[in-house]
Amino acid sequence: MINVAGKHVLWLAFMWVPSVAWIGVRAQTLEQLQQQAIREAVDRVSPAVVQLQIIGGADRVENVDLASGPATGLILSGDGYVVTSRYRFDPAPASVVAILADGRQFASAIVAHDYSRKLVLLKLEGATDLPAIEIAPDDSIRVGNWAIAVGRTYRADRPNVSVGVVSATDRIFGRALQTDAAVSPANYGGPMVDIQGRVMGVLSPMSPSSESTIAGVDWYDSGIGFAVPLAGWQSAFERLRNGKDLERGYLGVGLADGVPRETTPTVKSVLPAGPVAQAGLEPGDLIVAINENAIATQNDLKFAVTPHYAGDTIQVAYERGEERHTVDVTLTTVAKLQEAAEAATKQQTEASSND
Amino acid sequence: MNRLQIVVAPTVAIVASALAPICGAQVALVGRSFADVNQYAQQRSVKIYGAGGLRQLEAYQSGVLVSADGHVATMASVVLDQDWVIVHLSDSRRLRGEVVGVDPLLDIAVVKLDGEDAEFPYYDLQHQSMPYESMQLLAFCNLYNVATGDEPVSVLHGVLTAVAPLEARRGSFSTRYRDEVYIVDASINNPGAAGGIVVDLSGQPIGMIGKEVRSQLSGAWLNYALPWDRVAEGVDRIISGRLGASIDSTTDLPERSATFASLGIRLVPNVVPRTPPYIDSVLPDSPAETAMLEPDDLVIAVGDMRTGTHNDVEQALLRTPIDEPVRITLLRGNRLVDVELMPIVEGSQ
Repeated sequence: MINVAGKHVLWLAFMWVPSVAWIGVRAQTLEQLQQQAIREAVDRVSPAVVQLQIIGGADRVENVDLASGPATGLILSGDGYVVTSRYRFDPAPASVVAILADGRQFASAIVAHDYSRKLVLLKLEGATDLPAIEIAPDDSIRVGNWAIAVGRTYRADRPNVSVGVVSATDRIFGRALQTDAAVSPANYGGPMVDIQGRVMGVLSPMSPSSESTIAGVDWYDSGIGFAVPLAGWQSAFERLRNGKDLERGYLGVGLADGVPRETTPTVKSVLPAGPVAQAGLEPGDLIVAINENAIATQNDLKFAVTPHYAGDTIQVAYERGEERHTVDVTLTTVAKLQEAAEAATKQQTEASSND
Repeated sequence: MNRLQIVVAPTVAIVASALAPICGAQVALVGRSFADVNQYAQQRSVKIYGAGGLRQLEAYQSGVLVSADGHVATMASVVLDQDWVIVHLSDSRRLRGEVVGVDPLLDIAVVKLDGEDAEFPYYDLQHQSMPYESMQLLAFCNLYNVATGDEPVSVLHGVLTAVAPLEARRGSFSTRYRDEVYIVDASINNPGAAGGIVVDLSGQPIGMIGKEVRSQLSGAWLNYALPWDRVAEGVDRIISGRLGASIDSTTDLPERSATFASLGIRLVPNVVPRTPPYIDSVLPDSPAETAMLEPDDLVIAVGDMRTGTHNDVEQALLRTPIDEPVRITLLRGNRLVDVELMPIVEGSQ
């Protein structure tokens, strides 16, 4: 409704551009409408933003002091599923108690981890009729839109709020939205909402250079914050709800040397028994498309694959000489890749020692 | 600006902000554009230059005018650790300012400008506001001393993040204040910003930017302002003299002065410059024990003399006769406590 009102005022103002006084009116009125809209957006999502009392866990990870106060979580379903950032869950705390805006308290249990997007799914024990959220559709999220970050760290009864814009989409290889709203331990796990109070994503520390849980924490006051988009995350939520941990998916392929953004994704090596090896790819093959989206560089390949989880099956098109082939490849975890690599090395060593 | 304007400007602003929720358009018509607000705030913002410079402690900070007579409110800090400071006004004037006093409860200080008959524009200490989360704010301060020479202070935009108790991590800065502060999302936790002001979009004061501290809860540096009504209380305590005046070294000393032993207190050893006068122990069966003094009480005034350091307490006692009751003001946790002790004169009992 606010948006509609805002548009009318804007339209009126343009109609009366010759009047300097009208321009003044427009500026103030829009400013106030904007303030009102932000306030209403916070009010709309606030009931679903819970405070998480973290009992136990770590004080310090990788030489970084963690926050010691309460964390924030976001209610995803009326029957008690809550998502939060893994920031305080590596290692997992002894216990987590959720406090709702209305004062209700629930013990909670960890259901599963999304290691790729650094989220964790909790279940509030015995919870029913919890407030619902609305998820912003993927195509509504544009750079420059308002981004309102909401947490519940300082107080259980009131949210904490910071405001900025969407700075970028598809960051961290397609796994995060970027914002200049202040994102810090005071709101990790809370929602980033649009001007209508619809959830765009879950705030979490992120870094393009490391998959570590706390990577990106040091950016909290730099104007760089991230949120994991919830649009399109529904199937992951279903899997987590069934107790399945999710990890980033890997192809098990070595690519030709060169600068990733300039070099073609030509296969240099395949990990024996790894995903692409099982699908029949060989050194010298040129990967040209993932799920029918054309790719030209090694960077394109990383962007296309990284958002997928281990266990996901993706369609890989590649060229071998003049021929084009399309195969299904089931991605695997980094741990399994390492196991396979170690097994291959061992086999090679044994083979060479038998020679 | 003449006195009429000084009085009218805050009044218009108060009326305007009161009307804002009901009739937004009128606010624009009374002319509170950003340029107006900026000018209004800049005229009331000052840059303070004083002591510091050692051990990478900055020698500058921010402040705001709070009276037509030239009282400047700011945060107590090492910058004020000398008898006078230099204050830069927005109109290029550079005036000497005397440190009137410090409120140990809030860590607020007042500096009085040496302006003879000058009348200064100022922020109304009586202004009341009702800030809420997501409320848009502007902050005016000289962070990092980027405003050099006659340049105006920097303006930052943000929103109110939360109204919450100050739970600062200990050891970062000695702040005893634990009541509510306004946490904001603008980057005002930076060197030189303390003492600056946070205003609403109509230019009216919301709070004073506090010292650099880390949040105990989030571990992150905290951007916050002390609520304006608390600032007003602190300024009032300082100006009214409740916290004592500075020690006048020219006064005659009494024949026999009160001593620590005659009161039955021991302070924390005076080992560093400006050791704060914390009580270390209270002797049994002493006047201090009778008056229920406690270890960790901070002695902030003896009689009418303000005591910011261990040395100040020694000097104040030297000027206090031993045969009269001694009034001592203590800071205990978040409270000010006044006690009266009758010194025990050695050999009298």
